[in-house]
Amino acid sequence: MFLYPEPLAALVESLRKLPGIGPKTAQRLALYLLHAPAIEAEGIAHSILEAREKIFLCSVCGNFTDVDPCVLCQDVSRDQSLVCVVESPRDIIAFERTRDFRGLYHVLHGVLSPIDGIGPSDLKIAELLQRVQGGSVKEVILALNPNVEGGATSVYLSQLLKPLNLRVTRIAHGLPVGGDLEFADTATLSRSFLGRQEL
Amino acid sequence: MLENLHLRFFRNYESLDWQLGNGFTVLSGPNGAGKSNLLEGIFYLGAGYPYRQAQDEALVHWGADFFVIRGSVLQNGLKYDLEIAYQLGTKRKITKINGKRDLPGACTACLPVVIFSPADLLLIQGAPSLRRRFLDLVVTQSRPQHAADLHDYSNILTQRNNLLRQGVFQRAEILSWDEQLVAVGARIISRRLSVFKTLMDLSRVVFASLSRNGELDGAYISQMIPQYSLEEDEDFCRQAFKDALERRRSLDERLHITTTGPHRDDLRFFLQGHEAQLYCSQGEQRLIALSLKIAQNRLLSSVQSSDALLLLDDVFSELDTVHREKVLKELSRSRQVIATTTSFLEEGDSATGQLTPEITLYQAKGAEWL
Repeated sequence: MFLYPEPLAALVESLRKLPGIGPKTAQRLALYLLHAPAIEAEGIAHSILEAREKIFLCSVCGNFTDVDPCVLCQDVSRDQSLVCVVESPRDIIAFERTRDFRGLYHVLHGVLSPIDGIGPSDLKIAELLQRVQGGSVKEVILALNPNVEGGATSVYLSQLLKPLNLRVTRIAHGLPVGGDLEFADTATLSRSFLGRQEL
Repeated sequence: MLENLHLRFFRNYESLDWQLGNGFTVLSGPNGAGKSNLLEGIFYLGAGYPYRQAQDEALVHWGADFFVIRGSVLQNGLKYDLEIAYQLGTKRKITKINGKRDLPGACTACLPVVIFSPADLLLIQGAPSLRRRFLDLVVTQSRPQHAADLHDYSNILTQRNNLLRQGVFQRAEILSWDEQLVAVGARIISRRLSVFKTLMDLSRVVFASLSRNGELDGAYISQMIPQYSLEEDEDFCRQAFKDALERRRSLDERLHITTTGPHRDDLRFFLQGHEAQLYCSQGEQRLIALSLKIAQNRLLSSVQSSDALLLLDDVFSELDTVHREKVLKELSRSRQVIATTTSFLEEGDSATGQLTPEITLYQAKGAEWL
């Protein structure tokens, strides 16, 4: 059965490797790239190459950056004594949207998961320990996803950080703001009882 | 209670309409007449999943490409129309309550149901995992959060066992999984203990009226504490589990598995102080299993504050006449019971109808038969 000429087949296969892209979307994107003016396709190819070339991980926090240290780490108006530990650069973007957190970040690039063969040495944990030993950091906020792996990673980090005379905190678990109790799932609701606060 | 049942292309039924009465209904007929299939259909409608872990495909009538189970339920004065339909081609299952689509399993709230079958003898004779599954089901019926915790627990356990299998890790790493395991595990154990206590209290009363001799007792067995002295307090469970993990750490590391925790716990039943699995006859074991199921039914009824339907598949086999009468008498207290039998009814019992050419119906209210 003939489907695509070989270069097109190669393009479809490459696009399929992208997250969230299935065979049909890959085909649609590939055909679009062939239909579009040559300059557009070249522009996309160029952006990919340029991004790969110029973007690297910040030597301080591990976020993606084109300058080292990254703009967040260089920003002196930020509270240098607060470090928020996150799983991936995506989480930084989410926190930055709030514009409320004015401290620094540290990206682990994953969480502990023995099933996937991810141990402490596969994460940026050594970098974090080195960073907080400088003395300027007073508090580490663990902002990992509230699932089994995130929880275990938080516990692991707290065991390593507490002996260093730091305040170690975890972001709250519970009900979403502006949400309706009625629509919350049972796990979240019972968790919110555990994390209740005195008024 | 279930008022009427409609089966279409379900198992051996091409089409069946049945108006049910309350009280005690007995379906009598030869082997292969479709008595159990009928209970299976009712159970499926109430529970949302097939009994005996049957595949949906296997439930479709030969030659048909779908099945429908429909029923009207009267519960606390309100009427609900329940429907479960399955299509063979698309493998789609649709649950409807009062004509509106709903989640599978949503029917349980309208039609709580408990089934007893000959296979439940395994509750006494079978592997510990069957007893844990039974208890966890009973716990989940009264504390829904239990299901989520069991799911989390199994995820954490898999991660911890994977780490143990790798063989090389830091102490802090295993401790971080332990802490999660203990937090969720303690909730599971504490809920199990509290529900098991209630279940045993009910079972003991039921068993006393079913059997001529003996007092039923049950214990929750955990390797965490050798004596039967677990307390249902969550903090106590947390500490006990934590200590046990610590104690068995080197063993766990050697065997590359987690050797203690709620996933290794068991239930044990005793008749007159003797362990049922070892010393009881088949008939006595059956009565114990039946008592547990009737207790589950009563517990479910009180949780749902309406009477749960009790289905009894082939309940009278292996029981002598005296015990049959006792079982009948005990069950006549329930609002609605449906039982199947091949042999039970004798001359003089008057049939109240013919459901299919092969299945005869007998109906009793209260202690009519006794």
